[in-house]
Amino acid sequence: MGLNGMQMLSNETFSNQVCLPYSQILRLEKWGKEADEEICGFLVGEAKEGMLIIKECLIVKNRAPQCRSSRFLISKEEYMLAEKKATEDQKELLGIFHTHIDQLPIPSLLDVQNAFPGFYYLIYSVYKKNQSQFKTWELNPEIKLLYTLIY
Amino acid sequence: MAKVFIPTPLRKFTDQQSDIAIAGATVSEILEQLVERFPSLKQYLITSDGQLPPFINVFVGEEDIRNLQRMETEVSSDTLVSIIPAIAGGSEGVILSKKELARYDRHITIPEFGLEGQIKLKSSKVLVIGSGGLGSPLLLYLAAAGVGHIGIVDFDSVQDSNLHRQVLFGEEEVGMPKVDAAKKKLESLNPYITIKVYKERFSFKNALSLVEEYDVVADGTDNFPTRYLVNDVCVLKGKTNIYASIFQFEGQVSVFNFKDRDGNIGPNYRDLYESPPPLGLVPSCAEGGVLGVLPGIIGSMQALEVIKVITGVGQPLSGKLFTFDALSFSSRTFMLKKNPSNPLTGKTSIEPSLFDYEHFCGFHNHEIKEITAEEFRCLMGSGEDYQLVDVREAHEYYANNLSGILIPMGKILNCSHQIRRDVKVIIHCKAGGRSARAIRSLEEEKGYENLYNLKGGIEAVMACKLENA
Repeated sequence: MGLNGMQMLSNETFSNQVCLPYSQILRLEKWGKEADEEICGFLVGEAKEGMLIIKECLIVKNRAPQCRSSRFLISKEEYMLAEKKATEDQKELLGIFHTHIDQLPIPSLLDVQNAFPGFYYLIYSVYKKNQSQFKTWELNPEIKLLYTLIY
Repeated sequence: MAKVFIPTPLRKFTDQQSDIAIAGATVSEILEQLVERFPSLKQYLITSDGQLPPFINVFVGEEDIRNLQRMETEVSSDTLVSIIPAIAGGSEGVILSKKELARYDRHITIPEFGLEGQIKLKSSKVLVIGSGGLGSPLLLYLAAAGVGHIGIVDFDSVQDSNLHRQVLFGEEEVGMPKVDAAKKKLESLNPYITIKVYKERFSFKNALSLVEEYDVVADGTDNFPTRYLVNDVCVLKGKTNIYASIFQFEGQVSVFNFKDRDGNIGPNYRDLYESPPPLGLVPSCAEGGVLGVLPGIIGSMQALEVIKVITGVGQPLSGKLFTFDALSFSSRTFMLKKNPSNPLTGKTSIEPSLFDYEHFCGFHNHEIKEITAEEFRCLMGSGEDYQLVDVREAHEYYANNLSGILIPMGKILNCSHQIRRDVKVIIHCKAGGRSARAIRSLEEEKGYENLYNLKGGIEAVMACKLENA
């Protein structure tokens, strides 16, 4: 069943397709609407024939030293732990999610500058703790921003 | 042998190995060895200038190497070197609203430009020096394109004779300060950007502090002191200088002091012209004239290069000088190289610093006596003996004059015998610039002491007459 969780911006370049289960969207929505700060974490699942199947959104603490309502940072330790857990569960770390509060789910300059080519990024936007929309994207090896289709 | 931890997304390049033993005394050596064994890793680990890309963190033990000696951090045989994707970001800097996304849709549609290019434009800060012929199309296109922060430096006011080429202004703005008229127009064109104006002359006194606030500088002036000053301050502050100039039917464009992705800095204006030409050899647009459409063409090209430099799209005109001849509709692009005798960046360069560029370019800044249009009208009616000298060109003189004697600026020293020493001599041109230079030359070369510059030139007298009509 196709699930398009947001209104797509016109004229985007798409690469991989991402499968995000509805249960995980509900989790993101719940976390996003409850928090006053940006929430962040890992997308864990498996990559199959150009399709990314996200099995779990793994939330971790936002370690940004300041301005956590508009910035996030994940520590090295949490990255190592997430990798360990994914390996134990025979899954892969596919990417990162974070929320934008009262902003569009388009990557900011800060997001793009820190993006790792090879990871998939999901931004979940929450407006006035009520409405929400999301978007996933990646950087290709030439460091160009590509959007992914969500199912 | 140090042990290197490889994160999941990079393991596809290391045959799925997560821990690799590598010999090396520093992080730099370890990464080089690693890349030699697994060449596909290179683009993820080392930039072309030998640094870490921003999306990677390297830890030696528990410490981030950015807090140690960076790539030169020492590594012992039992150290764990961890390569970890830098995981950070946030909505800070999301500055494109839905309305803006719709506005810039045709930019975002271009695959090479995209949303990333538009975000870079919105985040950029460009200082435009001069809002005249070149500055008009330049500012209009930068504002329309969505450059987020634009600074404009100009001390001048809009004059009627500007309107044939300075398309930023209309008749209702004549007499208004250019920066105020420009700000109003640009804000009505694009309400999503900020315009900061500086109603002052760009001089060696304010240049450093003005340029410091901006990422890129675009020089839209037409005089040598400012051109050299803009160049030198950009070299000092490490800013890219988008240069353009026009004269009669010809235009030039180049990108100076541009730092490419490998960290190489391109040539600057002094690689092209080490020092200014003798005073009076190259006339300004006011003296020599300019075809109105030419700054439209050249200023638009200047805007294009500003946008390319900001977004990193395409090849900027660094190391090249583009020239356009409107009469033959021909263009040529010359290759520019660094000049070893460049006083700023050449082999024998001295510690660069700013100085009085007016003096450097032959303009001597000693005070000259002035007379206002109103005072001149009183003088005319007073019966006092005086002489009036017009230093404009013949065609200007025959179009409109104040019945003074005509000695064009270029002939002023040779014809100085026509200028009296026994009475008050009023010297004028169109707006007061050429006559001021004429007076300085006459005072310095010929020892005159009875010369007065007509402030605002013939234009001020005409305006004064209209007011009193």
